[in-house]
Amino acid sequence: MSTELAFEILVYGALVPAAVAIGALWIARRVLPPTSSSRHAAALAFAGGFCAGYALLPEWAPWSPSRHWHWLPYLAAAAAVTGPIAVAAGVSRPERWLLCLLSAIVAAWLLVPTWASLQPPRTTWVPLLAGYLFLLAALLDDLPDRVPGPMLRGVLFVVAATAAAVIADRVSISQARVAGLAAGALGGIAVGSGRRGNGVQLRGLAPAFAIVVGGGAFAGCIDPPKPLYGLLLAPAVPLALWVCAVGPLRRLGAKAAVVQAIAVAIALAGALALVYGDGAEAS
Amino acid sequence: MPAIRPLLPVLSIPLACLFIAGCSKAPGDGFPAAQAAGAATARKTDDAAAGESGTVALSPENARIEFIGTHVKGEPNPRRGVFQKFSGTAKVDEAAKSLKAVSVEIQTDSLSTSIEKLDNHLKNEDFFDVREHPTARFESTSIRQAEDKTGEYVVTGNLSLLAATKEISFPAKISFDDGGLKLTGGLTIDRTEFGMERLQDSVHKEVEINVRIGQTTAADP
Repeated sequence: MSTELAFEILVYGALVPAAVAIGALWIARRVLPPTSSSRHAAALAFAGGFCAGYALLPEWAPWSPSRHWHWLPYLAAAAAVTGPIAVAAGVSRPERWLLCLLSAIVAAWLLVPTWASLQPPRTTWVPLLAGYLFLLAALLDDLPDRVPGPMLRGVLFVVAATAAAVIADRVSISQARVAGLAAGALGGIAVGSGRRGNGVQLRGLAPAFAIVVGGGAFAGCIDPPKPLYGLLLAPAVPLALWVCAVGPLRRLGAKAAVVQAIAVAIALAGALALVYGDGAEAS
Repeated sequence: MPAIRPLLPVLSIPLACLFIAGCSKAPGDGFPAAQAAGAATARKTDDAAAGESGTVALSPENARIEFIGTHVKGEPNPRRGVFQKFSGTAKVDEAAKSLKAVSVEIQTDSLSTSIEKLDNHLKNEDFFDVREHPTARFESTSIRQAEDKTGEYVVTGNLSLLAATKEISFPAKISFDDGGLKLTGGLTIDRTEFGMERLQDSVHKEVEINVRIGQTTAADP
């Protein structure tokens, strides 16, 4: 890798999205009322960081979509609007899920390419991806109220960064750079929230995370001739927290944090094992 | 905050816009199917592989299309690959024992370097982008004898690769013997001229292409 490319990846692909996310968090906290800020800040910071990084990518990442993944910045922006509104007070759970489902369907429709060689075909992938994105968003939606902020922010960042690294290694540097923008923005949110930030500040982020990180992983999954289905597990790793905080293991009390960390580590290792299950020679 | 409930219908607006945009321009539209490659040699017209009336069917069984890319940093460490699936025709004048025209269509996802990870990388959008551009094509427009060089010719034609079609010319040795028509040729293309512009700091933009027809052409690299 050349010095110039490394600089672009580090500065444009990670530091700029992180800095924009930190700035957006700071502004949102000061401009928006507290009740509104807790819903909007993280989603706006994530979408802002992702789109700022996308704007700095070379010409192969245009704003006029000609490939399926070119829709990611638009979907990030849309999710930054719908996510916070879906978690507003007064919106019932069915209404929230309906909104998540609608967003997931639209995202799936745009993110599944029209390749003749796509297997399974687009007609199968669209409902599958929509279901995947919906489940991811709907289940992650419960976590900010139940998982400590640093833990959740850290897991989201690690998962996005791992997905980007795997895409770089197994699929394409270019697609990894797009996926890395999400990791950069999530890193900025983790840093910008500081130690005092609690999980509630991440409310409204779930749809954007699901669509951008899940959608990016999907793009990486289907790109090789032999799809890397294990990549789809990476964005779902935070659901290990759901099992501990909302699901069957929620009565662990003081041991919860340790169990959550172990569960996340196991889930991440499982996803990586699936991706790297069949080794490939170095190029 | 019950006041938020009336806003829900409004949310459908940006989503609907994205959906409509997606319907009007489906992902992948606007990218003409890629085509490309080429060179050819014909085999003897009475060969089992040959067609009628001086037309020779080209395939990996009687032809080979090879590409060689090199790294920028450190050792060139050339990577050699072949296309394992292609088809085409070579039109020959049996009486004059000359090659008249040649065309080849390559299935780009059949490229092979014998290194799986490299194959996958070459197939993605950094290079051949085989999902968007599953075929490449070469079609000759003229085949003329090189000056003062018996048996050597200059093959000119249109190479379609990714979304671009460019005219290329390359020298080729063409001969007829008991085994039929044989051709050996090669050229170097600038991959960026065809839109293969990424990773120029890692892989040279010049890519060597070698073509062989009418000889043993097992498709292994």
